[in-house]
Amino acid sequence: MRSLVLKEQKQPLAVVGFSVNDRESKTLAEVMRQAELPWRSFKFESEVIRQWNPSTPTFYVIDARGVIRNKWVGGVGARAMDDALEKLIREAVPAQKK
Amino acid sequence: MSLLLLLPVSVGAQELPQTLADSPAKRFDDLNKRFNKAANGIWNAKTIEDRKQRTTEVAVVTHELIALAEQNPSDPTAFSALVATCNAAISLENNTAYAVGGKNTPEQRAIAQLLRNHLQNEQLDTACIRIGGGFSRECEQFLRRVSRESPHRNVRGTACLKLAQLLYARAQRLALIATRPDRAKRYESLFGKAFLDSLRRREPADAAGEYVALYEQAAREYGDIAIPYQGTVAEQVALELNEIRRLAVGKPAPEIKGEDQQGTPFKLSDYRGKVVLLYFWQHG
Repeated sequence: MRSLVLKEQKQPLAVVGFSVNDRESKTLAEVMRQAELPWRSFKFESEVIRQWNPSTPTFYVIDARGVIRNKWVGGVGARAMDDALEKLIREAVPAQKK
Repeated sequence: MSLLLLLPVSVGAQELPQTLADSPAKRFDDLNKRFNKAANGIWNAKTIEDRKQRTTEVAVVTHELIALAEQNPSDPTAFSALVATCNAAISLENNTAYAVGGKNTPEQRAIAQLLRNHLQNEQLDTACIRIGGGFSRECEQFLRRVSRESPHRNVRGTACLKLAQLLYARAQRLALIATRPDRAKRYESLFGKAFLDSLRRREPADAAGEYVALYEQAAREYGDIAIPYQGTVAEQVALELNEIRRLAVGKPAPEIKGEDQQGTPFKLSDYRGKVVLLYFWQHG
C-alpha cells in the first residue's frame, strides 16, 4: 500500500482510505501519524457505512471514468492488485493525452 | 516457516485433561472460558509463536467440546457444546492459519449430531448464526436442511438468510484466494481439493443468481424475523442486496462525500480521471 502512495505522484492513481472506526479517543490524523499511514483517508461517516456495508479490509478499484472494476473482501494478493491497477492506469493514460 | 498445525494424535474422546467427575455443565463452562481466553489471545498476540500457541489451544478446546457433546448426547449442555464446537472450528478457519481438515473433523461431527438430534429444537437459530460464518460443504448442507425442515418459522427464516450470506461470503473468498496461492492451498487442506475445485468450476454469475434468489426469498417469506445484532431479516437483506447490486464490478461507484484526516472536505468524484484504490480499513 505504501509503495502505491509513492506511485501516485507519477501516475494517474489515487489511494483513498475510508476509516470504519467510529469510536476513537485519538483523532484519525493522530492514529495515522502514529501508525505511519501515508494515504489520504475519509473519516468515519455512518451514512457511507450504511450504503457500502463494508467489512475490513475491503478494496475497490475504480477506473478513471468512475466505474468499479475490481472488488476484494480481505487481504488481496499484492501481485493481483498491482496487475489490476497497471491495466487501468494504461487505459487512463491515452485518455488523458487527448 | 510453515504454519501448518498438526494436532497430537492422542487428542480426542478417549483422553480428556479434565476430570470426568465434573458435571457436563461444569466442563462446558470451563471449556468456554478456555476458548474465550485463547481466542482473545489470538487477536492480541504479539509474536507469531504466541499466536500459534493460542491457535493450538483453540484447536484442543474444539476437540474437547465435541467429545463432551458426544459423551453426553442427552444432557441439556450437549446442544450448547455442539454450537460452541462449530463456533470454535469456524473461528479457526476464519481467523487463524490453522489448516487441518480431513474426515470426522469436530465441525463435521457437531453438524451431524445437530441434524440427528436437534432438528426440532426451537433454539436451532443460534446454531444457524454460527454455522452461517462457515465455508464447508457441511455448513451449507446444514443450513439448507434446516431452512426446509425446521418446524419453527424463526429458525427456517434465520437458516434461509444465513445460507444466502454463507454463499455470498464464499463467492467473495473464492475471488480472494484466486489472487493468493498460499491461501488457496490452505483452503484445499481445510475443505478438500475436490470440493474447492467444484466451487471454482462454477460460473460466478450462476452462483450469484442462487444467493440473490435466497436473499429475496428470505425477505419475502421471513422479512419480519429479528436476527440478533442485525435487525430484521428484511433490513439485513436490503443492505446486502444493495451492496451486491450497486457495489459490483461494472457499476458506477456511488459518490462519497466527507472529510479527510486533516478535516478538509473532499469527494470520491474529485479523482475522476485517475484510477482510484478505495480501501475500507480499521486500525487496532
